[in-house]
Amino acid sequence: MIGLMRRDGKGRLRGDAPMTGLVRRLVRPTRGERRRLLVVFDAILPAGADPRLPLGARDLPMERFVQDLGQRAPTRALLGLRLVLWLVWLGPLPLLGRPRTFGGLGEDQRIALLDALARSRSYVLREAPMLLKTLACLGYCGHPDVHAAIGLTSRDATPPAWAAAEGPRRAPESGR
Amino acid sequence: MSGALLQIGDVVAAGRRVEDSADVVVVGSGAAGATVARVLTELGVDVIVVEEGPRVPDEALRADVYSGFRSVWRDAGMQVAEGKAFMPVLQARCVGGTTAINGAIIHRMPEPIHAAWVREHGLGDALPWQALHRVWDTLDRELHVGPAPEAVRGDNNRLMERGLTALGLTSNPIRRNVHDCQGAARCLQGCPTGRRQSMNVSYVPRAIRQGARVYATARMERLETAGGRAAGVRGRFVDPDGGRAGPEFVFRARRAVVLAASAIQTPLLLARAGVGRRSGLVGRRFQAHPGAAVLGVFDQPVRMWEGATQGHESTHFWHERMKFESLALPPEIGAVRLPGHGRALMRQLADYQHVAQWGVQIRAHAHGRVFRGLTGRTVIKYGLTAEDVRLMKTGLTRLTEMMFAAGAREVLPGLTGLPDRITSPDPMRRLTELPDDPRLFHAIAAHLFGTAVMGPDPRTSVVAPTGEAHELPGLFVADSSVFPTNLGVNPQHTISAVAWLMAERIADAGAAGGLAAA
Repeated sequence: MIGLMRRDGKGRLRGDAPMTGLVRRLVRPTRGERRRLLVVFDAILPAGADPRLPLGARDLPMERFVQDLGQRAPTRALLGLRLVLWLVWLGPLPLLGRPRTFGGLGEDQRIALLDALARSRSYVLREAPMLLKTLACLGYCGHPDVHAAIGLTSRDATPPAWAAAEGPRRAPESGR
Repeated sequence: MSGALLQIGDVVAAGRRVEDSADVVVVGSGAAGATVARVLTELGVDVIVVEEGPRVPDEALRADVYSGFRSVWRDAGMQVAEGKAFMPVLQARCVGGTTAINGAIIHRMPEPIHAAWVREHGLGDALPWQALHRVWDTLDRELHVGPAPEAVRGDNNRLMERGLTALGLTSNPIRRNVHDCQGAARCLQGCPTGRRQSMNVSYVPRAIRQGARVYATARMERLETAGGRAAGVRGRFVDPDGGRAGPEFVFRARRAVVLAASAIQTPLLLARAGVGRRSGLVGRRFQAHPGAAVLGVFDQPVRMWEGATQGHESTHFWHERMKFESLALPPEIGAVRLPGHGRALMRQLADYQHVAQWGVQIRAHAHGRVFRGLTGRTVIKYGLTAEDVRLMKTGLTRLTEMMFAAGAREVLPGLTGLPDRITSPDPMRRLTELPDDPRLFHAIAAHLFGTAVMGPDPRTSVVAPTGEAHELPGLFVADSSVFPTNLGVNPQHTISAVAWLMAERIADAGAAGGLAAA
């Protein structure tokens, strides 16, 4: 009598509903933070950088990935993510001497900021862009379109659970 | 009684408290719990298995890593040990436990480790070498253990063999518990074809066929006692994704409760039950096999996604406490190790099919601690010793040498204080000048041990060599919590063998009237 995992009318596994507890609502990234995260992801994984891999993070429905993450990641991880996001977002002034947010920087300056953090002598500062890069890659590199672009053709092309069936689409351009 | 697997979707419909009873209630369905259930049911013992995670059918598994993390990994793959550096701790939360997400690597316990357990921990009578081999032979047969065949080696594994051979180091195709592997390199996401003989496709179904009732998505919260003995478990069914609580359950054990919930969860359950206070060792002596890796870029395509996830290894330096393994990384994880951000990162990612990855795992000296924090969260404190860091440095240097010996055009060591990419092993010599600091590299902790150690003396151990708790008759611990030391090799087979022998003793004691009936 194995195999009793049930599906609802939309084909989701039974019990797939997101957690809606008060704590979860308080710790998961706000809409504004999610928008800023997408801007950072876009900087880490830009479109058009290589003809073999023209898709960037903004070409995939990464906002749904971020939303899904907010519903499933452990509380501490979400708090860490939000802290790191603001560290990067407000980093230009203390790290580059520029009175702007990350969203107000040009592409090269955004990369310079992330690279500067990654080379920091401080472990915590080094880990900040690493966490954001990890999450960006976890979503972006799991998409079948990216797999196909890098030659990973042996996997099935079923989209990740967080990605909708609709095709790639562009995320908001700015987040400042 | 007929066997069954039930989880929250089934019991919510019932809309009531779920009660059941059996001779033995087993908590956990991984290498230890499923093996205990397999042995006991075939000896005619009535068994209930309680598993916190869901049963995830093959068809629900997706190709991407994050989908795997969210469906079968604990904490969506984000569980970390806290020390000087953060270290991800790899664990599953699903039927089959971590056997459902590991690389299917099978090793028997090294003889020197067994000798030390006998000599220093008094476990000779409980774990006779011949009896262990008898069990391993059976496990090999039932779980289809054999060396990775050439057809699914893939170039990530072949190149590692080439590098090791060029350096004159011994190595071998990995012995794996896989039946007709298709080489999809998706072990970490959950095998999509059910070829890996993890417990969810081997011993759990087998125990169900023999009458076991497996309750999945059932989180044990409390141990029940009666007359000074363990008498059952109580808890709640939990939504596997959101954590919402469902119906309560009470499962009564007529003879024994067996904890097999892992070296992280078992000590938390013991502590909550107040067991092990005399020794003060519950949750202490946490040990692991930390691992780290380097990436190599080759002129030829490597295509890590073709072949066994882990197909080649070297135990050449096992006596120096290190073991080397190939490990095919999906791009979701591998891309993080590519240096830089933005366009530079994208250009490397476009070339990802030329990247190989191999890792080193060390038999670390470090001891950590597992406990429940003030807010109720699980806390894992674990920091590598300076000696462990030096071992890791040596291991990473050797990996780099292997990469170049195999023909890598450049290596990405991923080490703070060294260049992002190197074209010869020479820059690795600078590693010795850098501090012995675990924050130099990114390590992960796999293979978890020691948080409810076994031994004959209640002052220095939590459970007896039989696995029964010193302080509570009828309560057994069968997972790697009881291991007095780490092994230096992948532990699944040793965990199963130790659990197997414990289960035989539980059955024997029951037959002889040595375990009280409630």
